[in-house]
Amino acid sequence: MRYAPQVAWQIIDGEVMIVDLASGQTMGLNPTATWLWSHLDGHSASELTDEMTSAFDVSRNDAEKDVNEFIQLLREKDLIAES
Amino acid sequence: MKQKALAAAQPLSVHLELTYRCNWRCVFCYNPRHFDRAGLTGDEWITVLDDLRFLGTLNVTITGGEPMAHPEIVRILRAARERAFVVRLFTNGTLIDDAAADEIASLNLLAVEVSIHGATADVHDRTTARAGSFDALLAAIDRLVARNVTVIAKLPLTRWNEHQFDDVIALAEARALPLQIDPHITPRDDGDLSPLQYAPSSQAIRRALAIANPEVMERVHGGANCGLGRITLAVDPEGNVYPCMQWRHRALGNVREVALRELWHASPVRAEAADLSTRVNDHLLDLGGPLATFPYCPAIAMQETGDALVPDAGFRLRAGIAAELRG
Repeated sequence: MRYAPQVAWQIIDGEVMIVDLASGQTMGLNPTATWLWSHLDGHSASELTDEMTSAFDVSRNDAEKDVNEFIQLLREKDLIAES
Repeated sequence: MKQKALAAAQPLSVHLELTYRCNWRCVFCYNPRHFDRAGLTGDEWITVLDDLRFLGTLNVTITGGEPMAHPEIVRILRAARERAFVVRLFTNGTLIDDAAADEIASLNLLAVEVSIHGATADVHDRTTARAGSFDALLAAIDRLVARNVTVIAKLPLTRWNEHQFDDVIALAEARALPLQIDPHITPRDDGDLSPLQYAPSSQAIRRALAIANPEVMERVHGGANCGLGRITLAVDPEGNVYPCMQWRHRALGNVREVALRELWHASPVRAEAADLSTRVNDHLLDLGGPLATFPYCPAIAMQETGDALVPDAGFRLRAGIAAELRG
């Protein structure tokens, strides 16, 4: 997965703010989504799940659920592109 | 978001003046000269971009002079986008040929903002002191729009073009261009006040403010008047760092001597500027009336009155007009 080419983003007070330059829409992410966004560029969903399982006190099943839901949201908003 | 960034002195929005060079000579230009003594190279600008990413910048405005005159402009723009910044390009457009337009179109810039100084060549070219600049500007706009680049036109209102106020609006509408009208001519960055002779009439300012409907400043004691020293910064063509685009009173330092990422938070000049923003805010609250509710620039006040806390005549005029318009 890669950040979509029309995306801009930055971390402000610990949370990611995404700007979709094509639509003008902005999106703020909660702490978990901030972590996922910060780690997804250049990684597959499976790799991201592995990293999340290592970084947090969370089962692989729960991590996989969170990752998949987040990626689905990003795909719906065209904020990521496949590598 | 802005309040959190203000508290942390996170420079969210920055202006990078790539070069003083320009192929126009606008009579009221804020730039003190049109040549670089030892301008930053592409590599040096990319280091600045890396440091801005580290410091938490989101919005980067590439400006000048004429930024397209920098030999590595495309490389710098591309590097800015690769670092996930929101990027705006301020340009007169006339150095953007088809190849450059193709590059710009590929970069997903937020917008390319161009300045238009009249609705006809004689008025526009008189301001830019460059024959043919009006036709070249329109061709550049068409070139960019044809490639789906977002182009925003800006009209710096002056005594020389205010009689074409409506004609410029019509020209922008005919091209489906968003148009921003700026009624505020500022001194040169070196303190030269001569550009102020081109300031528009109060009638023209009134029309511009009626259209723009500027924000009513909601001030609270202890708040910041503006982003000075907190959420804004500027870097000039030779690497001098300022706490905002307008504040040239004192530089924080130079990126060739101290990396920007080290310079920003450690600088006493930055802290002093941030403190000034708060003192200005509280002072305007104490003054009350229209002066307390209109956007104020302490940098311009400093240039025009010698004291950042003493409002300049232009501010008083615009604040008064804005208050009258609100009724």
